[in-house]
Amino acid sequence: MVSARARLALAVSLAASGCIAYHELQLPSPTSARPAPAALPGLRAGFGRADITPPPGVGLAGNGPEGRRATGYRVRLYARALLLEDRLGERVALVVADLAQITANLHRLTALRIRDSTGIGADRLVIAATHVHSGPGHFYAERQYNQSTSQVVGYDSAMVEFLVSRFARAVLDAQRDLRLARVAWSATAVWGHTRNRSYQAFLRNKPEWTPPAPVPPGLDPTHRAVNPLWTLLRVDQRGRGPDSTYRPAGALSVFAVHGTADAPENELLDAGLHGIIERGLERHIDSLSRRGAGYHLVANGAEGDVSPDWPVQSRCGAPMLRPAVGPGGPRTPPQPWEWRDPAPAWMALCRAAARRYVNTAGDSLAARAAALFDSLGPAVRGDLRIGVAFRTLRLKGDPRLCPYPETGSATLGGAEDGRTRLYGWRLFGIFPIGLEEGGHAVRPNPHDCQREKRVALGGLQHKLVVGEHGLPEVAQLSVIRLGDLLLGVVPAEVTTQAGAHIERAIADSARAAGLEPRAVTIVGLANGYMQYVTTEAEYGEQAYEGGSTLFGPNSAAVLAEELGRLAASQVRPGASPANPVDSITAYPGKSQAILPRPTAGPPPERVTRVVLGQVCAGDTLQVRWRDLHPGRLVPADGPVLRIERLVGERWDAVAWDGDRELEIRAVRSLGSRGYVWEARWHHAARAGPYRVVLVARAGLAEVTGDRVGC
Amino acid sequence: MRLVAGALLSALGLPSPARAQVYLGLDATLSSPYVWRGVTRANGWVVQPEGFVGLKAGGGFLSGGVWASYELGSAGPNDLSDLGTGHAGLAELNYWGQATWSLGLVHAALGGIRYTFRGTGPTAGRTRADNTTELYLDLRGTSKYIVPGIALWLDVDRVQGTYLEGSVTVPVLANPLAAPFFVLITRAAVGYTLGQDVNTEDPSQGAYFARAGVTHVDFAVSTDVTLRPLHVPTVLRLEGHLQFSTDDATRPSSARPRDARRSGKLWMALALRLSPPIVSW
Repeated sequence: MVSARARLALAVSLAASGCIAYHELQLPSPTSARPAPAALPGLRAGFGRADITPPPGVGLAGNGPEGRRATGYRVRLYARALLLEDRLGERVALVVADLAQITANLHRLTALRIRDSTGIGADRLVIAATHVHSGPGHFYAERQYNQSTSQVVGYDSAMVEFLVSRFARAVLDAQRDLRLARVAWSATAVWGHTRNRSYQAFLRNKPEWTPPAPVPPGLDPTHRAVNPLWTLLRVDQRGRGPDSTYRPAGALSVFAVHGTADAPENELLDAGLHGIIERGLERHIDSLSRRGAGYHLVANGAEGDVSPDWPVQSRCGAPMLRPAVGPGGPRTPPQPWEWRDPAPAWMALCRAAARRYVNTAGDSLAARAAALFDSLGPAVRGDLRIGVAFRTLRLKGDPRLCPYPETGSATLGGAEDGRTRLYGWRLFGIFPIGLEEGGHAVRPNPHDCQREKRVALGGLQHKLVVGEHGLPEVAQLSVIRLGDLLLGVVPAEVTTQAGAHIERAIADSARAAGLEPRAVTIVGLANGYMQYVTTEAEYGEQAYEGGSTLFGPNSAAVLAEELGRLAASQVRPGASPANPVDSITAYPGKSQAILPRPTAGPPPERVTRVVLGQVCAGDTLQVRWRDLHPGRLVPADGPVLRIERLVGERWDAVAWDGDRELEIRAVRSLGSRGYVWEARWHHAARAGPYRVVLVARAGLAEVTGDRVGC
Repeated sequence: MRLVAGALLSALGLPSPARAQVYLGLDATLSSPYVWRGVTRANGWVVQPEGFVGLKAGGGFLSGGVWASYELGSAGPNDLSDLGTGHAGLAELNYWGQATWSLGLVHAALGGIRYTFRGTGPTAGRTRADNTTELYLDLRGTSKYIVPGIALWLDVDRVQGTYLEGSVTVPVLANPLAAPFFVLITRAAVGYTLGQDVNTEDPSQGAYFARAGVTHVDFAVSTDVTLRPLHVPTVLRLEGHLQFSTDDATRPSSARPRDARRSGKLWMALALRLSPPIVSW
């Protein structure tokens, strides 16, 4: 006799199994070739860069339900690569991409793509994200992230292919650029630009935090509760051919700051704060090198609870649930409810305030990076020793962790940087249900592995909503040795104190094994994504980060233990330890066509490019033109448009698309006649006249607009 | 048309149409029983279609439409019906006009409605003699959780009295992500008559209620699912009501004597609404 309850459970299980489709993908496991000493003795380094700006229309990942559909782009997104090879042939490729996260599928598929040409497999490849919240989603290896990182829902295998091909291109360009090199690294404290956004959780740690650098007087407690160290590796390259001089070529920075300087309501693809920092130092390097483009990779550190110091006016406020106002009368069924944004004028103001902050903070941080870069000039040397230790940790089923990942209710409300529309929601407006940080997000009677975490939707989360494989199940960990600097590479957003704990474990293990690192620094958001990792004490607070620590309060301790082991393996004599690359399965969900395709709209020969209108209002030049559809016009590996200013008799280029003062938007389709695009350039009150030039593309001639006075 | 719309909006003190749209609205409600202001008008199945035209201009709407109530089955001797025993079909036809606009956190609707009835038999609940006209004002506030509302209905024809309905609407659950958007809403409403009850000084005057004061309290749960088939915004609404009756007119749930003094009743309705914009300029 089957009970009614059992029948209900069976029905629910069958319904769930029908609803949740995993679409299992076995990822490749490419291992690196055995290192072989290079023909030229000494350290070699090469840089590469690839544009990863997708066409408008994709979701902007990182802000959950507040992540908008991209209408255009501002500062273009890039993947930058640094390939290093020491005198013994030990290689490592470091890639930093202007994305919110990196997932294991991107990492493994890129490794497969570059393995034969470079000898670099998954174990010697580090791909890290800047964590900018205005890059695309739809690439995640885990179904749940494809469903919930923006308002545009779904997985698109074309996005994976797009990103992987561009990452591979950046690494292969770096290999082609390999030259004898000299490097030096150092760290400096950069206070005042970052603050701890979960200070109550931070205070739970015992003993009290000891900042790693002297704190300037007058700094408030939340600004002190961060790791301020900016670690920078400077790379100078030898010239090609007869040019035997070493000149500045690029840098790798690691600094802990969330990529949330832009407003969550931003609707443009944008490299954000990190993009401004990257370009700021690159321009400085350009001015020093005079050999061509400089490179600046800005990886993130232990940024889990670290926000940029954004101003209050840069946050617009989440949409609120409201009954719609519409046509109808007294007998008409009531208007539906809807999530309604704040007023458009207010949204425009807060977006503009956020972009101003991104620019000024980015300039300031780039200046600090440039000063550090310059200070390392006399110290560069060509004898860096490289080592790599790598392993794939199976989180699910690890007896030290919770048996499966679960999200806390605190996560659904969002962090201080970007509250979601669910934050603070109460049942009937009265009864709290844990959609907050701390408070009712803390379970009063911890009784299972997740302890204080009030799991969002309780048992239904795992059984019905997320399913068996909806969240991460593995973590790819590595410790990279760059001389006496050790990088602890983790696929997570680690809080300040959890990061410090892991760094100590790495340093202690390395020292116990006979190595003397001068510093250890966390590189977060790399080679995968398992959300957040807090300390056990912070977890008890169930702030946003604790709610997002999927595998429970012991997560930081497990990562510290595993990375400590990897660090200890670094000191074996000779080459790096053998690094097996275990198999990984991805469960991204069914692929959908989200990324606009290169076949979208009419081909170039059927589109007449023309400037439709130009107007100057205040300090803004606005241009509309007809061009190819998104997918054909963008992605673009070169400029699409430039603005020129008349100086005497000559037209000088003053801005290109991708410039931070130039916003490009895809406005509307004209069907078989093309697509209307718009450029808005904030020319900072420099007197015109100006004109716009649509840059020539394959199959499309250059088009010059009429002059417009400003 | 633009000039007419502009003049109408100016007369109402609304902004003139910088950007206007004309909407064509179609909706239909399937309900059993048909309950109006707490009074069970028909205890069988009724379908209530409506068509309207709306003009969006500035922050407001001007709308006008026709609403009808069809009793789907012939009423038996123990049934309540506007048409009366043995009849089915069109029982009521309403014509209405309304202006709606937002004033910050308050939404206001001002309008008039003409009620006409088609009952002819001796047992009909409403006949031509009951035709009447009301003017109304509906105000709703907005806050994070609670939407309070007050509606005032003034009969200017046969009944010559006022009916007030106060309500509180609280959304419980809503899909935060992409389509299909759904929301679960609870609503509590209380009806109060100020003159739409029996006038003891003039018994010939029409009345909807037995005595002055609170007529009923209604608790409703509804769910809206918003879909966009063929890019037409379409809302499917399912609602359930639990009513506590306090007036002798709101108590009966059928014509049976045993149902004449019910203090509570349950009812449900299913509504489908389409209101696509058809012209904009």
